[in-house]
Amino acid sequence: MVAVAAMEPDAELMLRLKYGDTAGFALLLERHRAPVIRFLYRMVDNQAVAEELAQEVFLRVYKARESYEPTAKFTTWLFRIASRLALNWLRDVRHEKAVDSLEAGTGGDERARELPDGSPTPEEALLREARIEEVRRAVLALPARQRAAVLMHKFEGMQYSQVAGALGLSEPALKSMLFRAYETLRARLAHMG
Amino acid sequence: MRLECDMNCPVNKEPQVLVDYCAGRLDARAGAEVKTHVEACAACSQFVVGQSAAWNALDAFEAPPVSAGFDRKLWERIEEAERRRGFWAGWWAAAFRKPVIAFALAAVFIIAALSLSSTRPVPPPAQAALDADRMERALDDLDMLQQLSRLANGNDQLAAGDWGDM
Repeated sequence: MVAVAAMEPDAELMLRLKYGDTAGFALLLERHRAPVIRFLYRMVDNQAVAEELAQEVFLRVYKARESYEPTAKFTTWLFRIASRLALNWLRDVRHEKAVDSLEAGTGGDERARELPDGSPTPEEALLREARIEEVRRAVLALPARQRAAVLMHKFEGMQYSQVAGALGLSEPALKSMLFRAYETLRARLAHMG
Repeated sequence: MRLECDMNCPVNKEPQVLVDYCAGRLDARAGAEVKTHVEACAACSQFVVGQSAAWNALDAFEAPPVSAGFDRKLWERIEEAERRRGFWAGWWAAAFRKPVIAFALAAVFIIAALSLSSTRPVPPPAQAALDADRMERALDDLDMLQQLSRLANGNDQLAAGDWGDM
């Protein structure tokens, strides 16, 4: 257990789960539930689907407890599962999901717009709404893997090595992919500064 | 990916460093170096303005809060998965813990295998036609034997002196 004590807290919780301590899993869930669902929501643009995929992510984590080996950072492993599920889902619905609906602004989840805002006037609220919509469209227009890379890098604050590990890329390949993704985003969003 | 600035520009070796700079993810020394360079380089300065604007704009893409029943639903799914796993694991464990059950299972498999291998195969069509032909000939033979038998009975009656009108 000396080695376990020296490892990252999440890996330690996984090992505790491996030896039957389900409280460890509850802590992992508490810590990672929101980031995983946020990531999946921004990937698939639908809160119900995001939560369904997140259920699958955590179920897989639980089922893998006996074979779990802390070879990589827990977050990398967790987001690898989440990315694969999201990319597979996007691949499966690619032909069904009309890009037109996105361009027409009918896509997306209305729940995202129910967040409280501090805008006191209707004009400011409308401007804020338009700004959110523009950003949402810019992110969703990125190719799926570029989008996953940006979301992990920008919103989850993950290191290049972690994002590369989650997407199964080398670090230079990831940096190149991210640079291209930010280039696209700059072209669409730079005027918002 | 090369920026349009001096060929000796340090960020041209790794343009990603400007993204890290805008994200505030460089250590103090590296950040100060890039800052000095950006202040002197128009192309990098323009890049930083655009990247910072895009980086900050992305913050507007918020995600809604997690549904209240998320954990409960997950624990239910975990319990269900465990129940299913436990049923099969328990069944196999019980089967192989008691030798009687293991032997009974083995016997069932052996009997099933033997009964499958001993089942007579269905004759092929040519074989079936041959059997029908033989049957027809056997019936003809039987018919002929019956006629001979009737003739023989008639001869016996004559030999016994039943001459009648003769």
